[in-house]
Amino acid sequence: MLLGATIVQVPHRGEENKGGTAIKNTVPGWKLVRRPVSYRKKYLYSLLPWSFVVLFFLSLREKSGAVYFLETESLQQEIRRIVQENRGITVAGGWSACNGWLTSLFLIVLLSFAGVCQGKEVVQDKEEVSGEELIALGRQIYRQGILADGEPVEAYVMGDVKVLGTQFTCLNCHGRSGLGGAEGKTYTLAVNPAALFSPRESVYLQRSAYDEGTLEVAIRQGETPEGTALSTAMPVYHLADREMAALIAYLKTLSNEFSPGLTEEELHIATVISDQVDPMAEHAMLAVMEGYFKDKNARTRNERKRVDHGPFYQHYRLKAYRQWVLHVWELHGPPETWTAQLEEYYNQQPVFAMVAGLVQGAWEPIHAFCEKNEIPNVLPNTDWPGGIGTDDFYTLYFSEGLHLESRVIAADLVALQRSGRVLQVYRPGEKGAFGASSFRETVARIEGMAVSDWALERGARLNRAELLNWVKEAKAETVILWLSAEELAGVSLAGTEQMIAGPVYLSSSMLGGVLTPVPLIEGKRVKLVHPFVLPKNQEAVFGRVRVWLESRNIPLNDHRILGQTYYACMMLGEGLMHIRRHFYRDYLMDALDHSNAKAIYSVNYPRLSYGPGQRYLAKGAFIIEETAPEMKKSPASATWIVPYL
Amino acid sequence: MIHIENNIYSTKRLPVTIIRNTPFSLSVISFFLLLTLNVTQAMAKPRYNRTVEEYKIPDITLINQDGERVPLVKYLDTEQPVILEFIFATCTTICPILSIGYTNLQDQLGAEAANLRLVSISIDPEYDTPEVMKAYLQRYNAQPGWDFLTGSIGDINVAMRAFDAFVPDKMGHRPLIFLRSPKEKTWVRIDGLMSGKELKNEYLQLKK
Ligand code: HEC
Repeated sequence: MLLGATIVQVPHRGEENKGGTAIKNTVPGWKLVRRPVSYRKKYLYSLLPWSFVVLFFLSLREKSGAVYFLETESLQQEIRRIVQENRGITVAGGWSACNGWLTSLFLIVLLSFAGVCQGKEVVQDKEEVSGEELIALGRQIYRQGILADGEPVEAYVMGDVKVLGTQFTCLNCHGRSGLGGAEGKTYTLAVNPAALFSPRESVYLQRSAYDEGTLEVAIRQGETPEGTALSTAMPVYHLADREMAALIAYLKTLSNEFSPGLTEEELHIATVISDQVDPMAEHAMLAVMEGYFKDKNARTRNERKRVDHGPFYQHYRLKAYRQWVLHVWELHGPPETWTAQLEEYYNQQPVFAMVAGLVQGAWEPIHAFCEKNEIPNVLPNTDWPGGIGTDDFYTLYFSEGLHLESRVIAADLVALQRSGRVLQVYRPGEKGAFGASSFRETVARIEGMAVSDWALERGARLNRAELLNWVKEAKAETVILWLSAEELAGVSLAGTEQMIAGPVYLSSSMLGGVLTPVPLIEGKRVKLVHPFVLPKNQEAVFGRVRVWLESRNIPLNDHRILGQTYYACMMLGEGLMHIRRHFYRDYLMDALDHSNAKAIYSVNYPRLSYGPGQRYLAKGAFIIEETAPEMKKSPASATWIVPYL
Repeated sequence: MIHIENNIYSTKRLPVTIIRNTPFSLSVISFFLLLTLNVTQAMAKPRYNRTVEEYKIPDITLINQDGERVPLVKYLDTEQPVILEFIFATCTTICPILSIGYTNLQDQLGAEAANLRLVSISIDPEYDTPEVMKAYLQRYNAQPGWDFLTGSIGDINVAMRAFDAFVPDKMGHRPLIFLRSPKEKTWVRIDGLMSGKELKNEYLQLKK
């Protein structure tokens, strides 16, 4: 004798379906054995307003009894009685929202002819697949909204609006971590196993714990184990059983175990420094980090004390407080060897996240290391970031650095309608070369623009005669000098208006960024691409961190590194505060994505903006125009440009 | 919070008992009897806030998905009905639902959709460049008649304020939809997410 039920669920397109789950909850210990009508058939049925007739025959074919719809307490009791007497029935739930109780009633009446017979348990065949494969498919559904056969997932949101997985999918609402979040007043709930498989008692939604069966119902029909409807902002998904199994297998892996780099007491954080970085910058960065960590840990001690002695601190809050431990990972030798060195450090001491950092050359090796090991890297000090043009997730940058600057220059030239020939000067292997290659890439799409490059030899400085020679040879009307202050020093371009018809661009990042006096090439109209706060405002804005720095005896030398590092530490703190005791790295990144309100604390960048998946915070730069030989605090003109290129 | 009460079972409980071995005629009678009841059920009360407002369109110029300049006053001075929303491309939950609402409406209206002006204005203008907006529209299968506009931060703030939709932080934005018929100066302001049917009904009411 089988005590079971075959619940035939035929949800109408996108509408809720209450019957099955509600019935399941009627009889304690009753397992939900789903006997879904195949999805193709379901569409057929849903075309028929009379589809309950089909269901009726279906139930006959199943050789079992009534098809019931659950509405009321009394009906629930009745069903419980029937089940107990008959040991199993076929129950159909469906059409709740479209036809409502009318259909159900009619069904009941109609099917009363059938009587109640013995049911049979129908066990679904699940294709045998390895756990790994299943999880990979689940991840694909969750992140890309694509099924195994490459077709987009189909769902209905707000009851009747069809959505394809390629338009948006779980990721777009629940985040990479699955821990959801709030936007405006819309709350997207957590879908990690800890949340799903335990009861939820928030004001917002109360429900008992899901099991796999009820979770399927939640995703397919948008209802809790109690049968109450979830918000229709949560789409209902049409997934075949294997896909559903894959999705649930993946959900079970989401924010499940705390990420590495964490002990009961400590949170390990690393920063990276390579050979050959400017010692002053290195010192500035480390001084800020040490100061910040010390402050932070002192506060944490206080919180712990309060937890121990104060009456109002609940124990769980304690779990969020950990001492931050800073590890400085020094990288030596050529960049090709950095990955191995990083892996070595990481094996010895896993860290939860990385913050700031300073290297000579491209950030790419560190970027790739973080991506591979899924380590958040919060705001490194670099003008040569990695990951541009990818969907990489784990490194958050201030900007695209010289790539952004090159796009701003290109946009400015387009606005000036100065296509034509451009000569770029840079030092190979250094970040200026990155600016130059970015520019070349950007303008490749612009008609009529041609680029010539002049690679300056190691140790060489810019030389007027040579430059003019190159300009002539390249027939250039515009010049971009991706060079540092030293490389530019003392060059006068006075009287070259005839030979260089267009503007000469300089990069503010190349010149050291903020507050350094900008050496101008005497007598020539120069445009400075400047993604930072305007010179005239820099003092005032820097004032935000000045007091903090002074009170910790940190020399106010490299304003750019000091400001950026302070902000990076602050954002790490902000992110960690937001995730509280949920120490999952993906959640840290998701949390940072929502910290737009903190952008105003940046002392270097006039505008940073955060957004889900946005990894480069500054989106534009000023073009400062100056005709005087010395850069003044209030330049002749400054135009903010967001490049549409 | 957009938790929507659409669980008709918890709100309407019917005193039903199971009728077994009932003559067929009875079931037919009960069917027709209940058919009438079903109609009332279909008229569920809307789950969004709806008001009628007057807004002055600001004299600003925005940029569309093709990089073209769009003077807003002129653009909205049209013989076509207009629906306008504030969204951004990387937004979660709210904007995807607002945008798929546009997709669905265009779909439902078929050829008629060409006579309707659907406007999405970015509230993350520095990220939402024409390139990003174009890709976004493609993702949502946007048909001609649906434009995504961006602009300088200053102009976008002016636009938000003009529709009483300003939020200092884009993460705090609300699901607002504005509809205007060609005949009227007033806008129907809707606060809350709508089903496809609800949006279509609001649109159909406009034309009268
Ligand atoms: C358009 C946004 C959106 C998308 C896409 C989305 N969800 Fe949701 N989801 C929500 C919202 C909002 C809620 C909260 C519902 C409520 O408050 O009643 C939710 C709730 C849930 C719940 C119930 C949580 C609970 O505690 O009861 C589960 C499970 C869930 N979603 C899984 C998924 C899965 C799996 C996917 C992808 C296949 C997905 N969601 C896609 C918005 C979304």
